[in-house]
Amino acid sequence: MKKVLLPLICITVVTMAFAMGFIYAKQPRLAYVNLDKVYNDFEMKKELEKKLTTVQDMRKRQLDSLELGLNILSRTLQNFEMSGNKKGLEERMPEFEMLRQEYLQKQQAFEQDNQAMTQQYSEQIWKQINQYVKDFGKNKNYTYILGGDGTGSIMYAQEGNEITADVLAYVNESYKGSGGKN
Amino acid sequence: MRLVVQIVALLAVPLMISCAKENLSPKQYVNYIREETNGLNVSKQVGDYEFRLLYKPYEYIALMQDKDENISRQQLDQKIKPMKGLQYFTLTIRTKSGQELMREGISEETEYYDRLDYLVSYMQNDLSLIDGNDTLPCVLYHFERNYNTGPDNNLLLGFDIPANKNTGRDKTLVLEDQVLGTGKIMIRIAGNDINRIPQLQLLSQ
Repeated sequence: MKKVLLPLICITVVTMAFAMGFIYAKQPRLAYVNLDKVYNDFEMKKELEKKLTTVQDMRKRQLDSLELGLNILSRTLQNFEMSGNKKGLEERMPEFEMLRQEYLQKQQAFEQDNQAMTQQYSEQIWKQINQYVKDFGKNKNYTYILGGDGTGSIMYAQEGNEITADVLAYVNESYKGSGGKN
Repeated sequence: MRLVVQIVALLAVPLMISCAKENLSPKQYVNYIREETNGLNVSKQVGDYEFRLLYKPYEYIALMQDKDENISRQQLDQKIKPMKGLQYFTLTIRTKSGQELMREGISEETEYYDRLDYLVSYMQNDLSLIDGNDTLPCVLYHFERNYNTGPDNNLLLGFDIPANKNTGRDKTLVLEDQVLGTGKIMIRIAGNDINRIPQLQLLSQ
């Protein structure tokens, strides 16, 4: 009896282990990522932000210098007006108008360019983040990775299901060229 | 003491055998370089594009020129001689849709020619190689136009070899994209994978 029972128990245990392993493997693997953190700590975002700030500062300096010239000329015109120097006023007025137009045009163009640049950079950043998170999910066998962005898309999740740090490390390593093999 | 020496020798022999580079025939060598798992042909997908970087040792380029299995060492060396001084890569950009690179995601025909112009003449300025701590500009550049015959668009690239040449250094290609909308693309070939390249065994020496 003992001789029959022992192999039977062994077979049952092994079968159950396999079955449990199979069931576990079939279960969806779910995790969530704090997208705000990934976005803000993404190396590419930091690089582009620096680039954008440099460009915006340069543009601001250009505008400031134009504004200064405009203010000086405006004060000169006011002096002409107060002293009744009509000839001086007539002579310098077209110059003031031209400078004012140039200032306004540049201000508008810079605003539009800054906006377009911000949008373009943001699109590029998200394109890369989305790709790397997708690669991460595939490589680590996740069924779903949910993105929490602080707007209420994930209202509650167990702490153990957060993979932000892993994703961030993967995203930054992929950006630096590992080709998704990290 | 003798026993210790014997044990060390026993441990060292398999280690030396495993570290020794294997010898490959020309065909095997070419396949080895191309095989993705060997780390010399690395790809990365961003948005609608796949970027693939192939590291090309001199022997690989020489073998690809002739495709002669019976090439002699002398013939090979002759082919390699003018290549020296630069390190070579092929960057392949493939569109997801299978379209020609210039046509992907454009809305006007003028964009096609703008892109073509950029790819032929200006993209070189946006490419660099981080070799260890050195950042090298792209000194050799050729865009292989495929006239819409396939999804692959090849860029043949060459970079100087830094003076303090160390073959064990990682090499990262940097593309500061201006037209594809992907942003900066970086692809790395690990120095270890370059060091592991097997020796080429020629049939006739």
